[in-house]
Amino acid sequence: MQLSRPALAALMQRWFRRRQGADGDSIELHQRRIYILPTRIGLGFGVVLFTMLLGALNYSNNMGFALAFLLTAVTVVSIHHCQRNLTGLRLAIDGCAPVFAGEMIECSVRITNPGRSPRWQISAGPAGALTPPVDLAADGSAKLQLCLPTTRRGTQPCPEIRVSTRYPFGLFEAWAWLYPVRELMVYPQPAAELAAALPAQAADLEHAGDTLRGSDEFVGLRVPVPGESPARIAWKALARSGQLLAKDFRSGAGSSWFDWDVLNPAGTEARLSLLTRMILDADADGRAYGLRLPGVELPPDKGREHYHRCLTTLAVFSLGAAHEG
Amino acid sequence: MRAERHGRQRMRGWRAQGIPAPEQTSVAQLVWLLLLITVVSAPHLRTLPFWISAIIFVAAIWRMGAAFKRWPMPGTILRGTLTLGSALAVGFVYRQISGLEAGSALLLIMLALKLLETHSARDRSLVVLIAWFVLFAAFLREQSLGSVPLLAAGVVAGTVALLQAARNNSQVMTPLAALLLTARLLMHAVPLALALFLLFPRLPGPLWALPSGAQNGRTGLSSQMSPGDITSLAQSSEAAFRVRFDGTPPDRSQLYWRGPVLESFDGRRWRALPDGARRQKSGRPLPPNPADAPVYSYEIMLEPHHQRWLLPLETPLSWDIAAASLSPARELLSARPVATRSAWRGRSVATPRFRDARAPEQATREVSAARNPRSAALAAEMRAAAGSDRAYLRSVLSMFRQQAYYYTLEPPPLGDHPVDDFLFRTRSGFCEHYASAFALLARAAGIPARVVTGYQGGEPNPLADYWIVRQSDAHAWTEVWVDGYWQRYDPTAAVAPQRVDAGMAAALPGSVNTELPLLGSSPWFGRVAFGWDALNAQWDRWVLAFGPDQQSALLGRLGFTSPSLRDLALVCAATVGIILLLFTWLTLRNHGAKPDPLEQSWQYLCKRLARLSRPRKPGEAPTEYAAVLIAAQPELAAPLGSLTALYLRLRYEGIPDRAEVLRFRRLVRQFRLPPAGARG
Repeated sequence: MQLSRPALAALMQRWFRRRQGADGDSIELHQRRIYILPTRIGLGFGVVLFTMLLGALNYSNNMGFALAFLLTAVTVVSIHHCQRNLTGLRLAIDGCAPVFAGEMIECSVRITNPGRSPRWQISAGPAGALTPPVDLAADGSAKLQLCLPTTRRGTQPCPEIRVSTRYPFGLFEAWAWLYPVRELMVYPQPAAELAAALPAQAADLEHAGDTLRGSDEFVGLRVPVPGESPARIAWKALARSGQLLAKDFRSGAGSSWFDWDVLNPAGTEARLSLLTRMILDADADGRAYGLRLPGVELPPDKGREHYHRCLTTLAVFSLGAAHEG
Repeated sequence: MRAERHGRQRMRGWRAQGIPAPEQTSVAQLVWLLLLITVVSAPHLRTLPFWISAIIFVAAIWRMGAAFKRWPMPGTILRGTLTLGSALAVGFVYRQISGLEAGSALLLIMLALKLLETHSARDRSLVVLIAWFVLFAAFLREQSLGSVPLLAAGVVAGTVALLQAARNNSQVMTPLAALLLTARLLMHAVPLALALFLLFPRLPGPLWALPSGAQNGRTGLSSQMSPGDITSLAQSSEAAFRVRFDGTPPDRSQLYWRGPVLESFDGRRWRALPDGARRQKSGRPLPPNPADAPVYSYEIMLEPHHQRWLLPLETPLSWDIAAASLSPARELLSARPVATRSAWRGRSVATPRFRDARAPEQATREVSAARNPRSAALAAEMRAAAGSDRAYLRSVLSMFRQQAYYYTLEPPPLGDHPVDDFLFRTRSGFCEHYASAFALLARAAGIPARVVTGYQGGEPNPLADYWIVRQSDAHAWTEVWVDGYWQRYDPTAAVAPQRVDAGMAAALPGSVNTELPLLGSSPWFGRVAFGWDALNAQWDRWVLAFGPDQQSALLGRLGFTSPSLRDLALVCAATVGIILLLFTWLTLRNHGAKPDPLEQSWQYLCKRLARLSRPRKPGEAPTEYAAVLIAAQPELAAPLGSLTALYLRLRYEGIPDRAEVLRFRRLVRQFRLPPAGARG
């Protein structure tokens, strides 16, 4: 029983999905895509009504019948009001900006009520994790915020979105499923810190140094390496603080290359994380950078578009596919 | 392992953002719940023990304190203890927990305790459900006209409470909005409820034996009588039945409503003869109608008394209940106990005697030798003095009339020889004492006699065309076998003639009159009370007595000759279906998006243009469509071109001005298609 419930839910989900097809980013809720079932308290109420009916039948108690039938009728009417509360609403999905693995994808559902009657108590999200319900005046609209936890990089299909209401009595729940066609992008998780991530690869840093440390632009001070050129020692700083430091320069005009091969011994995911961190830092500093992966090469550039293109490349990168390609 | 799988399941879908606020009940929600609890518990509190009211009161105060003053609410352990303790207390007080009284008590305690556990929407809704069940239990005890306001208040307060309960505690509706919405929902629900009430198939009898609690505390006649039994009934002004005569009613002194006939006497207690002890097994054809006695037809509306007696006017000729029968002792009995208000029509001849071809049962001659020896001696002495049976019986009556015998509601207690004590010592008693003594005296003189109990008289309602017969009209008289007839003798009438002529209140000293909650003690109050009773009688007749027979009659009017339960179910389902369809149509009609007048005019134009060459393809831009049409009909270029341009401007350049939209509509109306001959 415990195991069959999720299985049943998945089966239902497949059926709903097949029945409805995929949705664009904006849809109108038609009657035929709204489902309605009693809630737990609704089932309990059904039991109470049935007991009343039996009691009234047994005692031939007409006031009992009157109460039982009046409450039954109100319940039946409430089913209709519950479903009507969703019918005709317009939903638009917004947001879903890419995030780094481990962060939450945030998405908002904008609900618009084009009808002439107000709508009440509308929530989004699965049962047990509903957004606080909103009331919509006639011609009103509201935004419901949802979020999705991520664990791994890559693209993932946008999960179905459930919009529901228990108006008016909470005895029934009407809901509709949205199956947005869009895909969600999850960038690799950036490595915590570049320097901390690389201490063991001193030999590679020599090589990387050529790439990483150009000689164009002063970026800061660092601990000098043995045999450091005297031209690079920060004499003024030595005079001031008594500590020996070297000036660090990087190539300024956008000629940095972030190269997969430089980070050779690390695993694929670790290397992608490092590259992500490099891109993040470079973007924050406003430097131009290029990305070189097996089978892919993005020439150095700047700007949001380039930034996202690089991160997307990293997110979907697969070593096997690259080698085959 | 399972936890991990579960965790991953939850990771799949979207979640609400942010941390949900802890669920609480707001004061507005609480107030409605308390109002509902007050309404539904009010009818119970009169009959239930005091401590149950106290529990409800304390729970309400505690809950209010928790809402306003942040008092701590009881924890699970305390609540569990209270629940168990109250259930035990109820079991201890009532010796059962399934009867109606005990069940109501338990429900009320559950309601009070659930009130102390109202955090979430589910808790609040549960309180409403329990409250509605408590209301239902109240109707099982009492369903007079006075319970209609109770039904209305309970349903309205419950609906509002449920509306509020289902909402988030920060989003409760204003009382006015909630009441308006409730009114709308109830308005939608009433037609459906009415159809169900009228057409939902009812059953003629109970599904299972009625719990004993349903009859507890009811007053009425019984199949045995000992001194004091009818006296206790005389204190009750509860209606036993109401009766409506066709035409002139008989004289009040002729109104003997025949109930259980008691033929066996052990010297102290009169009992109905069990069927097994009878020689005669069934009723006989009725006696011919004495030519001089008038026949009355009438309709009786019986209050449920959970016995089989139908209480006809003496002596019944015919009745309209097929399943009813006349017992050997001439009691009119229904097939099963009268558990609901029910009406029947009958015809009777108001005569104090009837012929019976059968000899009286042996039991009607028996005198217990061990008891009442002085009475037996008196009977022998008086019979010897009288010349005939009739003369003897007359002399007994005149003894009651002439000697110092008193009619009283407070007879002194009697000893082991109750009839002796009554005749020779106390000399005061109520009707059962006189009937018992008279029947015994007859038997002791060798004349078969029996005691008949029932009601005598009644009170006409001056505001309506019926009589009320109350429990206080309960009476006992005797029937004596003389010359092949059963002859009615009412010894009470000998002692207190007013009892039969004007009713018990007139026959008793004034002091008793004020103790009895009888109607008519003040003229104004009397009129109100009679008016209320008349309304109640209508209510009983048209609403509470509605049952399987009335349903059949209703279907009969619709053209079903002998409707079966299946016909009824079909008619019910069809009616409910039609009502739901109508309701859906009416409510969805105005529900959709407002039609846009601009778009409507444009669609109207496209529909008319479609006849010229072809309909507009979905998604085809207005300009493209216009171009196609103009290519086919060059003379359209000017009017169509300007219309299209205006439409596009109104549609896409901000919010259109209302006057402009109206102008567009007028232009579309004025637009004339070229005559048919001009079409290419």
